Amino acid sequence: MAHLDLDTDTLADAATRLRAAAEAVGLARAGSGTTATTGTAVLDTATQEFWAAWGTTHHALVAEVGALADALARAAAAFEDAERVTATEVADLLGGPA
Amino acid sequence: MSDVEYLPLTGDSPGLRTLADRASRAASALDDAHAAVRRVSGGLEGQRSDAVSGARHRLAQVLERLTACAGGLGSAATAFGGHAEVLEREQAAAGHAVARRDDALARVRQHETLLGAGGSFTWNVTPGLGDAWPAATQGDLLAARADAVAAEAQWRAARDAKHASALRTAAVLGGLAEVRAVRAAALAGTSTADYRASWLEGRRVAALLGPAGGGGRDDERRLLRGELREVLVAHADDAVFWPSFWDTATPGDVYRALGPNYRDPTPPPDDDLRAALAHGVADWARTATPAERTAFGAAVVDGVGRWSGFEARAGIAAAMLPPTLPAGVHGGAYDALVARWDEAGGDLFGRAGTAVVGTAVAAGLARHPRLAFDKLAPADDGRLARHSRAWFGWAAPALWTPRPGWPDGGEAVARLFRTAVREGSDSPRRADQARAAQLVAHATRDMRGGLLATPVSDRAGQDIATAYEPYVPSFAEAAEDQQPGVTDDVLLAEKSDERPRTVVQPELDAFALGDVITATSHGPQGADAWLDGAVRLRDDVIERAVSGAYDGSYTSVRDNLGDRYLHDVGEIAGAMEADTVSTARERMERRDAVVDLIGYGTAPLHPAASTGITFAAGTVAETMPDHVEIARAEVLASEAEVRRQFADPVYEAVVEHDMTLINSDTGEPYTRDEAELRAVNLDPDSQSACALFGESYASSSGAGRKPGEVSCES
Repeated sequence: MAHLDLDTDTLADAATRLRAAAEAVGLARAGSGTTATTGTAVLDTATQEFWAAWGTTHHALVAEVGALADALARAAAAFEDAERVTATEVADLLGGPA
Repeated sequence: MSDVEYLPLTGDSPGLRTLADRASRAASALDDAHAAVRRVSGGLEGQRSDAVSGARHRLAQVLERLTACAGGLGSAATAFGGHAEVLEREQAAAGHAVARRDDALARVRQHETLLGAGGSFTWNVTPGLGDAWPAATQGDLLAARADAVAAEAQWRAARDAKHASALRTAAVLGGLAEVRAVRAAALAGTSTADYRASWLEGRRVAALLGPAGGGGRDDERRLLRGELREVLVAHADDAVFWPSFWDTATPGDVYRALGPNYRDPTPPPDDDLRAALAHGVADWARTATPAERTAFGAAVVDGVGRWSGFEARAGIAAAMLPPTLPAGVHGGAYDALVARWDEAGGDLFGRAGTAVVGTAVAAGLARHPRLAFDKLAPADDGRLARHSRAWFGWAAPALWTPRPGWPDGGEAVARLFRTAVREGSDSPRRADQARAAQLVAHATRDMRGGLLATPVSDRAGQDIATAYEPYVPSFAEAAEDQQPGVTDDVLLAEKSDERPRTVVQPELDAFALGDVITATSHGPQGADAWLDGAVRLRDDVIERAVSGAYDGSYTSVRDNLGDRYLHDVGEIAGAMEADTVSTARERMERRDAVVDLIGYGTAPLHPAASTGITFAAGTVAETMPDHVEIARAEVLASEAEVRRQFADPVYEAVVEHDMTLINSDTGEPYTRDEAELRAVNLDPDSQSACALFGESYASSSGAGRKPGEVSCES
């Protein structure tokens, strides 16, 4: 069985970065509550619509990214003692679409 | 919030900077995550397996989403940051203008006061001061007034610059707020800056649907409908156009604009337009949320309506439901279709018109095993029965048209059935297995009057046969159970002293099962699938019979295993021959009908002649060949050969195995004669084997057994 050019650090690192991304996206949207900051009604409206539209994307993104981060973290934990990991072993833990 | 003249400009530029900073950091984090996921994805490059393909697909989806969202947030950060900079600069300029104006106005007031105090003076004659002071005051006053005016202009310029920046930023955000288009652009590899034209075109074309659907002059509307068809085909591959189009258009709008119209003789959408619609929905669906996909699928079905021309609209609906769509679209369409068919009740013609949509939905859902299983086999038995009837128990009307059945020969529905059953029977959860078994039990009864009431294609037969594969061990019990349900597998295991079954088994209606086997084994693929099931059962029986579990002195338990096996395969083999007998029976019935017509139909008019004819007809009937008897003989003649095909390998394997065992009486290995004696009940020509195989074979083939007839002589 083929070995991957991957180690548990790579998997864990990807998981960490995905979680950081999800958190950063959450913080960005959390700050959107103060929309009356632009000084122009037109821009205030556009800003509100922008963040509202991103709402759906934000939730889907955070869920998707979070699920993948969990899967990567599980893979990293499962192969912690292994120096290298096989493709199928990693793939089994990552599974199909979230 | 609006600005009041000559007051400081409103706006929180630090707040905007914070917003920009957060969006920028989120975009960077997404880019960072993208790079990390790419490293993982890169590690899977060159590896091949189903698991790796699944993982790679998932990683690719996340990478796409990360790219799209990072692009959107990055652009928003730039927009917010740019406006914050302009706002800060113009606020400063406006502040400076306000201060300058205040100063100028103060000077104006001062000079006006001075000039007012000297109101009795003339400009040119000021006692004691000469001519200079009043003249200077006058000049200062004018200068101060000019300063104030200039300051006001400066304030207005700052306000206008701020407003212009706000409008530009709003326009940028307006584009980015159309998240769907941003995602589409990213997925299509289009830059965010380039997608705008396609997006606007999508909106423009969507707006044409209303006028093209009705109202206005006939000639203008025809032209519009023609233009609409052309432009939709032209944008077939435009991945940004379609998300924009479907953002405002509905399937109902499309049916009205492209569907049949009694004032427009344009034929139904051609292949190019159907392909464009299919691509378009796929492009849109990739950018839609799960809820939007489900709602869209339902709208595609609901929009077909029931008024005139719904068959043609159903054709458009089928084009908009290509099998490659995300599962949610087909899931929504599935629910709407079942609800529609429930409402239609006995309206078979209304239902026949939407069969093409059912085919599209079934084909799509069959690509998503879990959803197919959940939809078709809900945990509630009443609902499951309803779904089984809806999909398998429906036959097209046959009053004055040939029975068309499903438009694809039942292939999509059969694949859906196979997929759902496989998903449930393969599941490690007993509850799922029970739902799959229940679905098979209901479908077995429903199919004979529905899906299988008209001939199905060989491929459909193969799928249906394959779905039954895990349940071949239940065929022996089928004759005893006439109500759909699932067996108590624990009880079965105890009763038959077998290993616990690995799959929950259904309770099958023996007659319905026979019909299913018969109807699906006409073609080579269907027949092979049934035989494959029987062969797998044979191999399993051999494996168990020689496993060592039955090596003791008493062989009755092993004999039971063989008995059940022969009964099961007799059921399959017999049902596959049933057409021979049933066709002969139909021929005989037709012949008898003709004889009856000749003998009795003319009797009231010509009693004297009819007697002669009856006599003649009776004579003719007696001299005609008995097709049923011929068919029976043909089927029963092949019984022994078929039985040996299935029984011989088991018998031989068991004899060979027993010859490796030690006979406790002699202390030597069993001789061949001794081993054959131990396996005598498995001998294909033994009374026991003949009776067990023959019983189910004769019954399921329809040949039956007359008194005195035996399956074989031992």
